[in-house]
Amino acid sequence: MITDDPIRDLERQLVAAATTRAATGHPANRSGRRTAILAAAAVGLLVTAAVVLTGGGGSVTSATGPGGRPAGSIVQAAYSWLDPTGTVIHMQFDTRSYAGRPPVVHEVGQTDVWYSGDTERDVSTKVSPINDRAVAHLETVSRPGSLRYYESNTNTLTTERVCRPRGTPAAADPVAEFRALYHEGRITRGATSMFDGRRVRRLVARGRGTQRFVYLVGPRTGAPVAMIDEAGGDRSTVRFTGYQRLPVNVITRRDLRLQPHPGARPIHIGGPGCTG
Amino acid sequence: MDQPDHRSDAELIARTSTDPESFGAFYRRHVPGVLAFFRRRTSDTQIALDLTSEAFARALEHAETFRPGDQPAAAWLYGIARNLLTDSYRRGQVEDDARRRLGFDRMVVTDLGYDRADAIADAAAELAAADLDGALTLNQAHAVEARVLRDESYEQIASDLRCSRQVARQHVSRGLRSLKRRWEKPA
Repeated sequence: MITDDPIRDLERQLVAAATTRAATGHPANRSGRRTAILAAAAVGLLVTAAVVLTGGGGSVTSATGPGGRPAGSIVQAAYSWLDPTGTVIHMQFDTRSYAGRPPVVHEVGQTDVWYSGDTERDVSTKVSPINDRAVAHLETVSRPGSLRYYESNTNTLTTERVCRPRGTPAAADPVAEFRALYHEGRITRGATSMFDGRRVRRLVARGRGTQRFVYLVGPRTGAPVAMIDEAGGDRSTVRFTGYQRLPVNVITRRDLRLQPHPGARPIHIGGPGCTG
Repeated sequence: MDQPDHRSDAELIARTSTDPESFGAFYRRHVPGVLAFFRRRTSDTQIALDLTSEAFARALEHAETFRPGDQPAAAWLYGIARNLLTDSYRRGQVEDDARRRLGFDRMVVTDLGYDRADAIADAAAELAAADLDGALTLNQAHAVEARVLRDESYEQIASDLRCSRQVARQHVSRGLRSLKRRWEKPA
């Protein structure tokens, strides 16, 4: 049972249990144990989150991922939200990029991303930070060995060979970046802090070079809240606004394909890391 | 302190076997305090909620063994809570035997749920401290607790305190003002 109101849901469970006991002459203590075990089996596996109590300050050794599935640590829980195994994940986020001294907003974007297996499709809109008007649409589909992207401002459809090592993120994609860092074992649990008026857990990683990557998640569930990517004085803040785990089917597979762009000028180029 | 259900704790527990809602009323009356009790001792809302669930499950299981003359029902409940906490420290995990026997569903609490639980525990701790200071009258304490912690309507509060709806509102607003003054008072 996933609950936004544990106090009320606990009351419901208590009253339901009291009702059962009143109706059956409280079986748990007398005919007791057998009935209770059967009842427990009937409602399914009941597992209390394993916790370690330390004097004056409890530390949780078990966090939960999407759907309340147990995930050993908050880092694993955070990863399980982004792990597409057997599903298509659809996320929405907005991005603000800061650059200069002092940093000023120089780019704003809104992105939808769908990904499953090795395939990822991003649809993003760049917005002018001055007047909030959309200035360009970009649609990208990344697969092993190729990157295809449509840019509205040039009305071009580019197909690029990609010869980077397997597992390297296709582009400046924060979700892929987190997953890559996770697989390298570089994410560590940081302190809690506040973001957008809510408490979050900071998961921190040193990226490549001067890059520093901070992923903000729900402090107990690991649900995505925001990602902050800093490198060489520039900074991008990604704020998640939507999350869905979708079944893999005909409809969602369509979400992973580049949409038709009739009239777009095709361009074919070799990509970074490709020789010959 | 007056309570929304005019029956005493002992009456509520005694009626549990014939009127299950009585245990619900007993739970509503004490859950903020018990949650705050566990949170203060564990510094963790997730563990505190887990302990609170198990403590009330144990209380329900043992409701028939409660003897009104021996001790106040609140002392009996907090005795269960203390024993549970001691057991949990010793074993390094929160017991869940009573919930298993009663067939409870496992609750997976969202962040919003934890925020709500935190707010309730915060308010209960603050109210308890204000109560000790004598910052609130009995009616104000009841009205604030009913409105803020249990989200009860002004009609319900007025009925509990046997006053008009307008007076119930005044008890809430004056109680909250007193609490605000208490918070703003330099330590």
